[in-house]
Amino acid sequence: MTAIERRWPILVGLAVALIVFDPLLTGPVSPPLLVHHIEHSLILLLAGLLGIAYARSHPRRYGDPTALLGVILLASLSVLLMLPDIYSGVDAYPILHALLHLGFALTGYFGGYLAERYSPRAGTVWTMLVVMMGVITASGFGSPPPHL
Amino acid sequence: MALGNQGPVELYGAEMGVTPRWMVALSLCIGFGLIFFLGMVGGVMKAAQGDIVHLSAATFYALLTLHGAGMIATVVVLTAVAHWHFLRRLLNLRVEVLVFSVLAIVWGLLAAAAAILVGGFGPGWTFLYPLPFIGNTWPVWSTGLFFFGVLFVGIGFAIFCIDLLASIIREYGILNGLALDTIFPGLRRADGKVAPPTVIAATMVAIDGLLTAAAGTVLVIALLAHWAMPAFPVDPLWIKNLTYFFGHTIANLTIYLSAGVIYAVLPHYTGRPWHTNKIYAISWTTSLLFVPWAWPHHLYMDFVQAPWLQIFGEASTYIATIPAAVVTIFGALLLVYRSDMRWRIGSTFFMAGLLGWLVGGVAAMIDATIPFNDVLHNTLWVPAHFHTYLLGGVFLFVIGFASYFAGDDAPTPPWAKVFEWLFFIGMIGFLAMFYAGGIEGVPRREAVQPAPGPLLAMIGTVFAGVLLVGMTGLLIEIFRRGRRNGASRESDAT
Repeated sequence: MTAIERRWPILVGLAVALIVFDPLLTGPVSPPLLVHHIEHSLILLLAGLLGIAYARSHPRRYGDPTALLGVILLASLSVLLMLPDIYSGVDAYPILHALLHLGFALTGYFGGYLAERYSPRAGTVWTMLVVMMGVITASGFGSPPPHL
Repeated sequence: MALGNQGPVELYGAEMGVTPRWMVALSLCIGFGLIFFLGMVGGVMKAAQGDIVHLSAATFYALLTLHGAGMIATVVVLTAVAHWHFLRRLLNLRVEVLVFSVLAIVWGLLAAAAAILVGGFGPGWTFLYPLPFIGNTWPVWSTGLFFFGVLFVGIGFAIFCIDLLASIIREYGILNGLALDTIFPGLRRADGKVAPPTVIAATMVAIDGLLTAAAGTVLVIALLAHWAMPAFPVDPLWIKNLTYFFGHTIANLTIYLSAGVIYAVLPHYTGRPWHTNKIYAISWTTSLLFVPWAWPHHLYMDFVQAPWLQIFGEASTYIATIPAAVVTIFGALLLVYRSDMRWRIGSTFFMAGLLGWLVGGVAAMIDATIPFNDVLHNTLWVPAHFHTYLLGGVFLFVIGFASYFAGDDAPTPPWAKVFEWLFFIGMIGFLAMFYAGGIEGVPRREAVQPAPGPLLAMIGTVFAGVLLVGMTGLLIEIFRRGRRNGASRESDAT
C-alpha cells in the first residue's frame, strides 16, 4: 500500500468532519435548496468513500443478502433526509443542522461499507448512484415550478 | 477506483430451502397467472370501448391503471427470471436474492392492485402529476398505497440489478462484461475468457436498471412526500421527466432482458454457438449509453421542455434502439440460416418475437420522430407500438422460454399447433386494430372513443378473445410438459 493509499482516507475523513460540523462554525444559515442538496450529496460521496475504504481494509465473506437490504434502505433514506421540510426545521439551529449532516455522513458511510461488503466494487457503484440521486433531487426535489 | 474484475472471492452459501429450478417455475406460474388475469382486464376494457359491455368511466380508468401497471411489473418479473435462469451458472448468482427481488415486486404489485381494485385509484399507470392527487373518485389512502407499491416494484428491480452487476464485476469486471476486451486487447483477462452475449445484455440491463431504479426512488419519494404533506412543493415538469425516465426505461429494459434469453436459447435449437465479437460490444455499449436518454420523446408536447432535450431524445431513441436490435435479429437469422433448426413451440415463439420486436421498434421510432409525433401523439398508435413489442415481442420470448424450460425436445402436437395459430391470428388482428385506430386519429386512454374507435374496439375484442383462447391452450400444453419432464430434470435443481 502506497503512502497516498494510506493517507487519503484520513484526508477524506477530515473533509467529512469539516462539512458535517460546518454549521457550528457558520451559525444559522439557510442556503438555496439546490446548493443544500448538492452539499449533502457531497457528504454522501465522501462518507461513502470512507465506508468503502474501511470495508476493503477488513476483507470478509461477500454476498450477505442482509447487506443488500441495508444498501437499498440506506439509499432510500438518503433521499428522505433531503426533504426540504427537514432542512427548514433545522437550519435555524446549528447543532441540529450538524446532526442532520452527521445523518448524511452515517448513511453514506454505512451504505458504502455494506455495498462493498456485499461485493467488491459494489460500494463504488452504490456511492455513484446515491450521488446521482442527490443530483436529481437538486434539480427539483421540493422545488415549486420556476415561475411560482 | 476502477470497476475491474476481482477474481475469485469467498461467498456466502445458499441458505434457503429453495432450489433455483423451483423458484423459476414458481415465478413463471405466478407471472402467467397475472398475465392471464390482466389480459382479461384488457379484453373487458376493449369490450367496453366497443359498446359490448358497459363500464362506468371511473371503473374503466381504474382497470386501465391496473392493466398498465400490472403488465409492466409482471413482464419485468418474467423476463428477469428467464434471463436469471441462464446467468445463474455463468455468474454464480444466488437464488435467495432472486426470491427477495420477486417478492418485493409481487408485493408492490399487490399493493398497487389493492389501491386500484379496492380504492378505485385510476389516473393511469403513468400516474402523471397532479392527477393522482386531484382525482375525486378515489380516496386519499389509495394514492399513497399505489405509490408504496410502485416503490416496492422499483426496490425489487434494484435488488435484481445490484446482484447482477455485483456478480458481473466479480466474474468479468464491467468493461469486460460489455466485452470491450474484444476491442481493447489491453483489457483481456489472463485466461482469455470473453463474456458471452447473454452476459453482455445482462451488464447493460444491470447498469441502466440501477439508474432507472435510482431515479424512480427519488420520484416516488417526492410523490409520497406530496401525498403525506400536500404543502410539499412539486415541479410538474420535473416529475413528468422523472416519471418517463423511470417508466419508459423499465418497460424498455424488458426487451433487453429478453435479448439475453435469446442469446442463450437459440443455440439450443440450432445446434450452433452464439459468439461474442466487436460488433456486439459496440452495439450493446451504445444501447447502454443511450437507452436512458430516450425518455424525452414522451414530452414533445410539453412546450416548457428545453428544445435541446427534445432533439437529443429523438436522436437517442434511434441510437439506442437500432444497434442491439439489429445485431440480435441479424445474428439470430445467421444462426438459423441453413442450420438444422428444430421448430418447436419455443423456437417458433422466439423467431416470431424477433419479428414483433422489429415491427414494434419501427413503430416506436416513427412515433418518436417529431413530425410524425405531431400527428400520432396520444392516438392509438402509441398503444399499438408498445403492445407490439410487449405482446408481440417480449411476451412471445417469455412463452418461448417457458416452453424451453418445460422441455421442448418433442415435436409440437397437432392440437397445440391449432392453439399456436389461434394465438398468432388473435394477436395480429388485435394489434392491427390498434394501428388502424392510430392512423384514423382515435385518441388513446379514453373510455368513450369517437368513430371509428368503437367499431375497431369491437373487432379488437373478438381478436383478443381468440388470442386468450390460444394462449390458454398453449400454456396448458407447456404446463403439462413441464410436469411430465420435471422429475427427469431434478438433477438440474440444485
